[in-house]
Amino acid sequence: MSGKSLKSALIRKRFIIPAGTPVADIKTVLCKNFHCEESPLVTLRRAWHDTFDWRAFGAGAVIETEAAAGVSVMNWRDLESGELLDSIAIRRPIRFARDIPPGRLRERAEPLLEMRALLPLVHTGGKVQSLNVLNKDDKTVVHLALEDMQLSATGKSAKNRLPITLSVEPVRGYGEPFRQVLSFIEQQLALQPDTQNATLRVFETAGLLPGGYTSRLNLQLTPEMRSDAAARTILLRLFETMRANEEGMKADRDSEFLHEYRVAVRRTRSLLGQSKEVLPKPKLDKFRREFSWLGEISSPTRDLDVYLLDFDKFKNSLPLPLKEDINPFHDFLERHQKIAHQRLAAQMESSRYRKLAGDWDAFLKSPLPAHSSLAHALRPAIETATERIWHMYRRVIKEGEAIQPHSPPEELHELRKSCKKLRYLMEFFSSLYPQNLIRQLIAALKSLQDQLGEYQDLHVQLATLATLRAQMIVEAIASERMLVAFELILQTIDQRQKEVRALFKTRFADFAEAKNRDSFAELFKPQARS
Amino acid sequence: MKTIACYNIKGGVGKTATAVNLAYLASREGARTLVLDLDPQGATSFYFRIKPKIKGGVKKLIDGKRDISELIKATDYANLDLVPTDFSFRNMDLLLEEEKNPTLRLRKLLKNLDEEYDYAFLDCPPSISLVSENVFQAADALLVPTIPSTLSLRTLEQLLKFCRENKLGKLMVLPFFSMVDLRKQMHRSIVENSAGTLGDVLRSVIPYASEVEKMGLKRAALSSYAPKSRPALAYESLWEEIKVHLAR
Repeated sequence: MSGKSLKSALIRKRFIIPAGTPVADIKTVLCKNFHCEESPLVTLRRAWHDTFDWRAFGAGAVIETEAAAGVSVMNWRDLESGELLDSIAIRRPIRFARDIPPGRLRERAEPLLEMRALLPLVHTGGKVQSLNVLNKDDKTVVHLALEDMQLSATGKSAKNRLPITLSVEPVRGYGEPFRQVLSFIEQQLALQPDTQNATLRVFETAGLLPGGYTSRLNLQLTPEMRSDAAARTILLRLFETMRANEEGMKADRDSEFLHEYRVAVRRTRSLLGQSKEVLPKPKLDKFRREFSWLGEISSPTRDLDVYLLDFDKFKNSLPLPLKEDINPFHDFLERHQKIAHQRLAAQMESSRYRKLAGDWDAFLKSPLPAHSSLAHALRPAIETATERIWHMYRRVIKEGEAIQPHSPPEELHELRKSCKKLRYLMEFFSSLYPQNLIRQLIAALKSLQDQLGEYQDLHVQLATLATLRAQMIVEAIASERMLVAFELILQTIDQRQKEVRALFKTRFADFAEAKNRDSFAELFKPQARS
Repeated sequence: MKTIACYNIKGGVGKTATAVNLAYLASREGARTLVLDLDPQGATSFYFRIKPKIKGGVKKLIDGKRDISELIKATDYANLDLVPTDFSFRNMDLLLEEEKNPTLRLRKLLKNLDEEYDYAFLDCPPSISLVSENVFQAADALLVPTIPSTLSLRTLEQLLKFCRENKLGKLMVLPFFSMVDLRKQMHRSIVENSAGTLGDVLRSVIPYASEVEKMGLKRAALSSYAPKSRPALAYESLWEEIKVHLAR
């Protein structure tokens, strides 16, 4: 650690070459005043990458690729300082973290990016003139670089121009020459230091907003707003998320586009289900039907995506001699996922989908009726929300308390549904309540949900894997060995499902404990009528 | 960080060329590499065009008043840094003697760099002394460039005996033949008959070659100016072998 902090005391500095000053002039002056070795002029292309949800940016990192003379590298930089933290030569375009050649950079990327694709966001191209300042032993003591890089695929309009820059990079152990060069540049050349973050400048000039997409709700409702206005606000935000993910879904860039789309659909359906007497019944009926259709057409693809994501986990659960026997299952999954995805993409091009999107958009943006026969439409949102949340909370408690060790799985699945409804309601309307408190309660609920969720998922897995196995037998790709491996996987899942079931009692008790009961009552219990 | 020392009590056997060329190969693969020039003759520092001078001399390094990080200089090669030597290193033994745990000082200094580098190459002075004992204690592997002559083999035998007698079992001693001239009958016969004897003699053999001598003129790593030459390819093969041994 100590070595690193000393190293960064000498940090690269960048200066702006004023517009109109030829680069050649700057080069000449530098070479006249310092013993410089000039490298051949390099034509460079640079690109910046991030996931759709800006994971690198969110972690304070910049992932860039550089290509010159047929050689490409991927660089990992610190966003704020621009410091190069890792670099690796690459031979082909990188789509996922697993495509990065093994090494430290990949070790940084994998846990952060997970299953999300790296999308190329901005490209620049241009020329770089490197100059090495040498000492009497002809050793390089300072690195200089004159860069004229411009955004690709744009007109050369003044608005989209990036400045020409001179970088001064120190060489460790040679602080004095570095300071001398800086002093010369600042005083004799009188160049202005570049105070902007170079990466952010590129994004800004290209019109991109880093961190611009998030699937978080980030809703700011007001307690007095009409309940129907509040519902529409939430539904519009969810629709926005759906639309934002459509393109990535259709192109199947990674599995998470479809996942986030489906989460938005699920939340929409949940709110529609809670909007009786808030939104008009004919609309509710129609859109509940249509959104149910969306859930249906997207399920096959999502199920297969999940099995593909979990495949390594299945594989690792097998003993070593059987591990490779499960590989035909992967091919099977991939094949069927492609087919399912094609069907889904076709559905999204259909007139039914276009009509749904158009009608939904029109409905959510239509003017609010001045009067309404609906019982709760004009009610303050806080009242309707509080009532619904309390009602759902009570249901969760009642259903949970009824569950005994011998209760059938269906009862836990029902409780799971109720927990989900409760959770969504709390998240939709969280801005109406004290932040700390509601966040705590959501976290407490999440813990119970995780157990119930895992339990149901395992059950679904057991059923689906059995179906997939039958399918593989029909397709004659199920060897004896693969079936043995498969059976083992099913047994492991069955064992896990028993373990998870046993966790229920404590998880529910934690959720239902006095501290939480009191908080729920404080926030949501209807006041006693006087 | 793996510490690899190039050591032989005899001078002129190719220690420095080995340290510089292997360190260069490691850095070229992307490994963060540090070279320490412990020989006051300063050949390593010379090859890297770095002055054999450290402020305050060896005293400041040994007594712990300066962090070794402050002495590190970047070479002209990516991922490759050097701690240059200083003429005062000729007195390193005397200073080490005054320290508590005199044979462990170097190991302690290098420990601070554990997270910062993947490899440290030590170019050792040709001697048997407290400095060499520090090297034995600090290194994971001891590369011993050996000229295939009778006297050199005797010296190697003495070294192996010393290691056995001084509980240096954890130190991986890796002798290899250096400056080999296969036109000489003695060289040929020793290289051919060495398999199975003399501990873990590495299979890679570094030929005597003028390209290597030119390092002093070029002041550069061999593979940077003659990458496809016979000795360069021999060093590559040597490095691959060493990595296999280090991985065990």
